[in-house]
Amino acid sequence: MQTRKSNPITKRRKQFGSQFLRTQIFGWRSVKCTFSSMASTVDFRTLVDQSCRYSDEFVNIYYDCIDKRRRNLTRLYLDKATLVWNGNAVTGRDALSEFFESLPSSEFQVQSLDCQPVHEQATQGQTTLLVVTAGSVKFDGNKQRYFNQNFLLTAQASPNSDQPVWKIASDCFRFQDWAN
Amino acid sequence: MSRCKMTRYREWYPNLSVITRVCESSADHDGRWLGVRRGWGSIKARLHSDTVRLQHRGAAPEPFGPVPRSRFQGGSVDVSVMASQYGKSQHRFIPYDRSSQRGEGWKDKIGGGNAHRFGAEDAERGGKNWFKITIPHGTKYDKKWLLTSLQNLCPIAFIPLNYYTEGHKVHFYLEDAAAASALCKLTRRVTDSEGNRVAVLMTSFSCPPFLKSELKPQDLERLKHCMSKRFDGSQKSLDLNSIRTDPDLVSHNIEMILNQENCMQAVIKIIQENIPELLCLNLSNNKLCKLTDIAELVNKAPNLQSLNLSHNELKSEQELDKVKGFRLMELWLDRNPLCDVFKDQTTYISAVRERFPSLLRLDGHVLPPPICFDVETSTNIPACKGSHFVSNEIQGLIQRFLQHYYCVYDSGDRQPLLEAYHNDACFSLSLPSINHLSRCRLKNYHEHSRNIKNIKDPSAWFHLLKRSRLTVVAFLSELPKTQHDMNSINVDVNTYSRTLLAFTVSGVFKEADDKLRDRVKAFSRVFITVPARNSGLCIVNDELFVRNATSEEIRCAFAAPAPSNSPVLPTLMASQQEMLSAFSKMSEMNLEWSQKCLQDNAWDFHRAAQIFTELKAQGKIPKAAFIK
Repeated sequence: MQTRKSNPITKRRKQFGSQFLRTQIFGWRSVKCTFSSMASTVDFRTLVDQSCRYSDEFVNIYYDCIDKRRRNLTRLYLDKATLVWNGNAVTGRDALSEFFESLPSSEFQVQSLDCQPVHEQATQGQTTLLVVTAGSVKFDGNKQRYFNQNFLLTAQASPNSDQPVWKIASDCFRFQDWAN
Repeated sequence: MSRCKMTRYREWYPNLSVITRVCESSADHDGRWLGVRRGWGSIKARLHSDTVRLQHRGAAPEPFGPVPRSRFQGGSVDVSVMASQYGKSQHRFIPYDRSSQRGEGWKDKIGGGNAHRFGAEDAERGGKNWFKITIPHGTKYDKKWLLTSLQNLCPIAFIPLNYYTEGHKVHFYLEDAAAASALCKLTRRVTDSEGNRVAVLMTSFSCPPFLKSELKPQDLERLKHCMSKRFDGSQKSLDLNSIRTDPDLVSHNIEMILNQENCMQAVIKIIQENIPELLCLNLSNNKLCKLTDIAELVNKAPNLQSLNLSHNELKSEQELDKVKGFRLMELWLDRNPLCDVFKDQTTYISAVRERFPSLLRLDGHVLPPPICFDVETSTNIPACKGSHFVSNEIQGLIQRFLQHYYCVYDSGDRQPLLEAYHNDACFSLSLPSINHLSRCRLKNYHEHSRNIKNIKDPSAWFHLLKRSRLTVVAFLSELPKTQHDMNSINVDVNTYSRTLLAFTVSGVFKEADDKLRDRVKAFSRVFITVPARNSGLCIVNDELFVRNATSEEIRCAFAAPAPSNSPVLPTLMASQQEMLSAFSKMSEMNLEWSQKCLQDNAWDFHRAAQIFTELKAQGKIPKAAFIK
């Protein structure tokens, strides 16, 4: 008997929720073509709306975690996630864990937030969000500085729950005055 | 009480709004308000009705109990003040004895009529033209209700200026003496919903704080110069003792009254920009009465260890709470009114130590060292580095892409960018949340800014996102013409896979029409790209963040001569240099063209050689390529 690969339609439904049930009407072959031909304006609009809500929630969780529960921060990252912190590259959960431990305690203030759903062609169908933030941060013993940060969040199946969870696939952080 | 004595007390206590009498000898004093009795008749009536409401509700720092009714019979009031009771500071006059039952609270209770009289008289003398109206516990009322209730009872229309709150009190200013005195008469005439009567107090000012503007640039320069003379680099200490009398500043007519917000803010700014590593600061003899402004230094000069606040006018230990963020090892507080508040040395030290647990020296005396807990963690953050490319290939790819992209972007016609974008590309723009002044400089971008934190309307989230290559490029074409400083460009590669390359570009640019240097802007832009033909990149997501450049960035911007229209060649690595010279030798082309050929073929020597041979055979290589 043929092993059945996970039906991409059901996978898609799980990713986007019931609003995307309409994608079921397309057959297996159609799924292979690029997303652009399928996505109507209405779908995209819902996608944008959802992206904004998810990114708002994410930002609240992330910065609260980095300020108050630093040890749990790496749980938000993928196993193979990469962090580029002011030009310093950190890859993998263990290295990330060590890196965040070494940073002094922080007080972040996010002043601006923008997000975009990432095009399917780049992610091969894996739901991904681009989240861009800017604001100020004060590390203990250092003066307050402004920063720019962006994340790529990707939806992953979770062993702990039925629903997929967002995980950080990449994180890029830089002080605005890093050159000084 | 003689008028000249009052002015003297007024100098020391500008907020004084109650009349007291100094008892020099008992002969003068017969338990009544002497010298002020005439014309104070209205007060007697008020005193009677007020006896029932003597208790302050809320957080009064000096609570007092109800005074027995008998004291007020016939309106006689006994407030005797003995300077001699306060042996500690002979030169300082303290009208209220904390232990006395009667002292506290009279200020607020009787304030209305008294202050009015003096305020108006001062105005007549021409010295003070502004009046500050204070409503104790005013913060619990709705501003509109409060002002309307007062206006309803006041025969003269008044315009409150600079309405602000301080603790539980509410303040606003009036310019009109008649309105001020009329308002004062309304004290305790307005009753709130809980049955409390609203008190209205008044003081006069020659020039209220909110009118004082910032220091002029040349004054700032002189101040900076003066401060640098007073700065000891080896100790990292700054001595601002009695800075008001500094001959440098006085000779240039600069009045550094550190009590005023504008002066203190100027000093703080200079410290922040020039000496954030400050360790010791001396602010003695500056008549400081509050530390609200200095509190800002906690973030800006975090290493401060020694602070000298002696010989000032700090009245309450609560002022120390504002600066407890400093990890002080040494503090001078002596000769401040707050010191006299403490019963004994131990309580004083204890109160100071509460705010500064690691304090070692107070007022020059060594304190027994505190026993700490070893919870100190390192405060070092990793050093910042420049661009992070993951590999040479990716570096070459991105650099070629950016050169081409910004060449078109800065050229004045952005239509060719259509080729760079995917059919369903997305673009959005965001700005920092900024004050009004900065907003003017970013006005071209502001209305398109998509800041989800500030925009609550979901349809705006959708409309501000540009989708499809035509929309994106049309929007980009509307943005001002720019010139990017390619030397300032920094790239961080977020992540890559077979189908995705995401990277963040940051740098500075100026809007080409503006000649002014301070219109330099800084940006941070995220590109998410998919592979395109000819080993190029095709943008699927593009997010741009624009802000005003800092003075440091402006200084460094465009330092090298502006690049010409031809694309700037990226710096090559050693291996690339070798390959280049070899290729150039072999093909007989000059370095520029050899490099172009190699770059177009992702630095693959053999492929480049193949392409070269083919093109040469077809006669497509111009003669210019061979000119050395």
